[in-house]
Amino acid sequence: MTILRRGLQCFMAVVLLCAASRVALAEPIAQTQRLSEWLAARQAAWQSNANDPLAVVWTTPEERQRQQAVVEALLQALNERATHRGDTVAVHVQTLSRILSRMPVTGRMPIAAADPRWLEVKPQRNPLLRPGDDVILPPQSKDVAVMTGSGEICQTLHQPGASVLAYLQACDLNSWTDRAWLIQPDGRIRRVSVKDWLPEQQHHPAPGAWVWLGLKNEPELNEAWAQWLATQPSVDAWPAPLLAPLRRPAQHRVQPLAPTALGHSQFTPQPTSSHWGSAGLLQTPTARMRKEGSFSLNFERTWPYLNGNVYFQPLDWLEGGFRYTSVANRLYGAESYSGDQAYKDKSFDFKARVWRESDALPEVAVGMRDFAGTGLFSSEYIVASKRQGRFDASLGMGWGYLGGRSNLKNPLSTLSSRFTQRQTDVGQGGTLGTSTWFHGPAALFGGVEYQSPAGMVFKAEYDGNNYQREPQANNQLQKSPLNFGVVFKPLRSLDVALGWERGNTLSLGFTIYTDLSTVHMAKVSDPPTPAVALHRPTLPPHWSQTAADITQHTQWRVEQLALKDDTLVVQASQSHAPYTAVRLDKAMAVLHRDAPAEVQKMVIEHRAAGELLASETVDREAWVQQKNQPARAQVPATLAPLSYPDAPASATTVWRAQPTRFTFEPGLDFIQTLGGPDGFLLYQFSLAARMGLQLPWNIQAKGLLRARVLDNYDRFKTPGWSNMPRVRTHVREYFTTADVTLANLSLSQTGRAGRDWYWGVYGGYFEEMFGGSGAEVLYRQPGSRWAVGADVNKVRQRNFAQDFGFQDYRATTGHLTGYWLTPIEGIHASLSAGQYLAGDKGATLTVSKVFSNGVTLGAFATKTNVPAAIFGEGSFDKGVYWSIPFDALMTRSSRSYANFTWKPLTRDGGARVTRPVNLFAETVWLAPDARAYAPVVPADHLPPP
Amino acid sequence: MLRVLCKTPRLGRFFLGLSVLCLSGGWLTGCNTVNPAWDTLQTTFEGLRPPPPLVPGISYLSVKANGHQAYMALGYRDAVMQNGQSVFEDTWYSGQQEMLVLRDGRLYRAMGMTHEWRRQDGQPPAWSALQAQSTRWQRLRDVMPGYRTAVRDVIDTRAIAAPRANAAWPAAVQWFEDQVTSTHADGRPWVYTQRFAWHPQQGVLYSEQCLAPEVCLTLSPVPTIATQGGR
Repeated sequence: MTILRRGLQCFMAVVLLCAASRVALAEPIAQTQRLSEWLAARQAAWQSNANDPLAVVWTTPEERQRQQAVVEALLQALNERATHRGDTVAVHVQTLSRILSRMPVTGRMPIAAADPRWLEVKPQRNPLLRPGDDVILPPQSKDVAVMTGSGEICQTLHQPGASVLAYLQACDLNSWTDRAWLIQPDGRIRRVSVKDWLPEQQHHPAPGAWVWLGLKNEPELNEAWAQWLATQPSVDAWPAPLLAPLRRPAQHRVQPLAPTALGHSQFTPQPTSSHWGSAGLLQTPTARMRKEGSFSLNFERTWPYLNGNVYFQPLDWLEGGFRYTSVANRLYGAESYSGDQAYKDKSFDFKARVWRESDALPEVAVGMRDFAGTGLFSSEYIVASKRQGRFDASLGMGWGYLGGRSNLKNPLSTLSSRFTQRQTDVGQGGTLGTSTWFHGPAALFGGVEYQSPAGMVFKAEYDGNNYQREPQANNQLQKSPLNFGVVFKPLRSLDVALGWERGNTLSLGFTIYTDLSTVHMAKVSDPPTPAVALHRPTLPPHWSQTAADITQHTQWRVEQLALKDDTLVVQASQSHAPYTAVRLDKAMAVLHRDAPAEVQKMVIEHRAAGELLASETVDREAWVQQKNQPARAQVPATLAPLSYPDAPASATTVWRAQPTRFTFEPGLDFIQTLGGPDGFLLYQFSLAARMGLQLPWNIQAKGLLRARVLDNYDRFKTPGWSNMPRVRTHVREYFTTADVTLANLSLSQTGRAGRDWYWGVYGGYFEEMFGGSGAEVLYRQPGSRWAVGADVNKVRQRNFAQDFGFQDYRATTGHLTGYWLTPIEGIHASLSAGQYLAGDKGATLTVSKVFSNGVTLGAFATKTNVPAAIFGEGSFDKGVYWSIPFDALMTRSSRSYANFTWKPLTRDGGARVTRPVNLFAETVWLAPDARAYAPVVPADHLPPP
Repeated sequence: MLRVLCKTPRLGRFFLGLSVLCLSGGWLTGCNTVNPAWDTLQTTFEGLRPPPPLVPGISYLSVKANGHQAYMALGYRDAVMQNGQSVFEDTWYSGQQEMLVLRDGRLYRAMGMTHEWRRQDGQPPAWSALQAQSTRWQRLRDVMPGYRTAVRDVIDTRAIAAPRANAAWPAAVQWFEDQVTSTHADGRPWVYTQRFAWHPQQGVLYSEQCLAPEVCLTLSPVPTIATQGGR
């Protein structure tokens, strides 16, 4: 049976090629040559025949073989569905199976672009054609074909500018799915929206494209079918008998997009900030979420409040943020304490989607405002949003500040009478205040927004708050519960919002936003990577130059180069950086340029803590081929395998670095204190000199010297206070006592004991405020998602001048820490339990999300055995942080990160010492995701699948 | 290099601003070198960057976009027929393997960039035939990203007086202006103006042309530096 089917498919491939070649250029390849050469030689004939460059077909025997296996697997999957699913689906599946058995196995490989002049400077995109390959330049197609899950094919005339939905309407087809598969003639596949309530700016089907609607509840099968269609020629090239059952609409003509009737498909809704930072209207939230990775900084003024909101979207269903609210008509404190500074309130929010929008149902989200602050503006809400084209309507129910109008009975009061009352005691802030959540009377809120074709967003809302019950007795006159606003987008990444609120108050806001998960920067300042030649060097290498060039291109510290037989071994330390694969490629380019011709394998040994942690082995010939031509079959590209050998490869050293090395790096440092009584922003710029000395036996000395050059810390007058040992609240003294400070100076040694145990010992001035000695051990298996570590430190408080002296306060501090790199959406977590600097005991939970470009968003909270009353304002230590690799930001490669941590308040409880050694970070090569991060490539510039 | 120029607005100056802040100090707990930040500043602010060394004997095209300047090297010069006349088609390459094809000084193809012109079909009038009264012509373009095929541009081209800011050009140079009526991807009209400085012997010496609404380029060939020995 299989032989018969293969025979039929080969026959159909021949028929198709013949059909296509009526006006196509189709040639078997007789001699090895680049596609660019082949195209250039036929350019005149090609252009005169009006062939379609998007639909150029390159076939290889290797890909034909792969596709044969794919079609057999697909047939098997279809047969299984035919047996196990209901009657209707079984009939559909049988039809698809029949079509599939008649479709040719083309062996088609994707081509980046059929432009010979461009391909010739892009060897990695320029196929090397070999005898046995075929190249076909099909004629320009005039049609677009829509295939349904029942196997029905609708072939209709292509119309420039028409959306996928327009083709479906022309074919009188309703899609059961929200998103169809669009398969362009060059083989690229995209999921595109085909619903009015799910608008997006999407690609147009090009002439010759396929649209696949898919089978219900068969995501994997549908994806496989789409990939199969991507190997097929356009529908025009198919002989009619093959297309049965084919339905060609006789009168249907696809309507192009008219400027006056902008279609559903050509705008992507972008939720804008409410006054409280979350995606929303003016004062009220909507159920909408921004794109995962979004970050926004938002300032909004509505008398008497000025909100400064920082918002993140770490997951596509969760947004969170924090804010400072300045209350213009209330003082921070007594005039003698904080002058005329306005009152500042700090608060945290979150919002989580609980239901996705569908044809019939709205998107639903629940959220909380000010849930871990003073509770002045604390609110809980549930909100639903439904979109139709450019209109998006929301309706919600709010409790607390959002529900101040109290026009609804709390529905939860049917569960318990406790829900009828709400306590409003703000206390020290920082408590989670669970006893008030969803308590008290509620109110409706909601509104509608319209995203105009010009990019402006118009908003109207019904506000749930009652301004006659404002916190701090700060009641405001409200003439109307309706608020109106408009959002302008004068620049990318900038929104300006104007509003008319309460019927009598003007509001103004600015939002700066970006998508952290797509941050990338071309490395135009990097030295050019050596070109990858097909031939190998004939002259003996200058190994010292090789090592220096590897360092220049990768920022690795090359320790040793060694040779054994056909293998070159590179030992490198400080070799982990956000984008490891890019650096490996650069190192390979240098090594291939210099290594003797007989070297076939390159082994990169990554070392840290004085030990070999992981190694990568690269086959030189395969790597050169990969850099000089596209693959000949669609197999997923794989990185050189990462292994964890017990011992370094034995080889003859040909070059070795000096065992003792001194490094000196000048720079600028910045320290800031936000939100204090002496000024909202206190800052200090200083010149910084970072020094390092690498000694034998993996002993390291490092230090940081700072000299203040510009600051306003002289305004820092308020002496800190605390009911605890003052381990962190002497900020003013530490940053104002001396102009030149020794921020840290330490000596450390690290190593491995046994296969999976790592240790470190250290001593000196750890950080600005503490010094002493300590030790750390870590248990971490190669490739494991979890690790356990422990550290113990005897420390003493340093002099305020940050010189060599100490004060009297001593502490023993240490933690047992569990690390977990979860397999869920790049989420990392750690839990530390132990004794903190002030002698309090407790635990710290840290959760972070790492995006594919290495950007990290995280939050932490520490709860110790110190009662909230003794801890002081904030009740417990917490904060958020983010970290962006310089590789994603800068035009030159760098191993560094830009880090920022925000804590609403610095108190003495839950304070940890900063240690000179961090074994978990140092052994990052053992992590299963050590090589998971890469520069973002814009989706529109990816090579074809 | 063009890729950076084209991407700068997309990424937003927000992040470049962040970089500046990083260089100025803060938030750099893990930062141990200022060189990448300095390089980024140089790329961001033209005045900080030394001009790139141009190789004698190679023809370059100066390309300015969004306030940044880059150079592309001439790869090919072909004579092609257009509107019954032989004109030059120049293929220029950047160091980032981007390619611009100018036919008789007009953008004809662009590859490897954030915005590409994959194919073009049109017959622009000869420069020498243009008058103060505008001549209307059309072209069709295949554009990426978005698989926009047969995007129709209606162009009114006319001779204009030399702009005051460019009065220093040789007397033989004539100036022309295109009024282009095209469409955005969403169907909205996109109307823009292009300008050209054309020399009867040397061709187009200067032009302002748009690749996409986000990317308008100022193009001018750079006089070739003679090689040693006058070769």
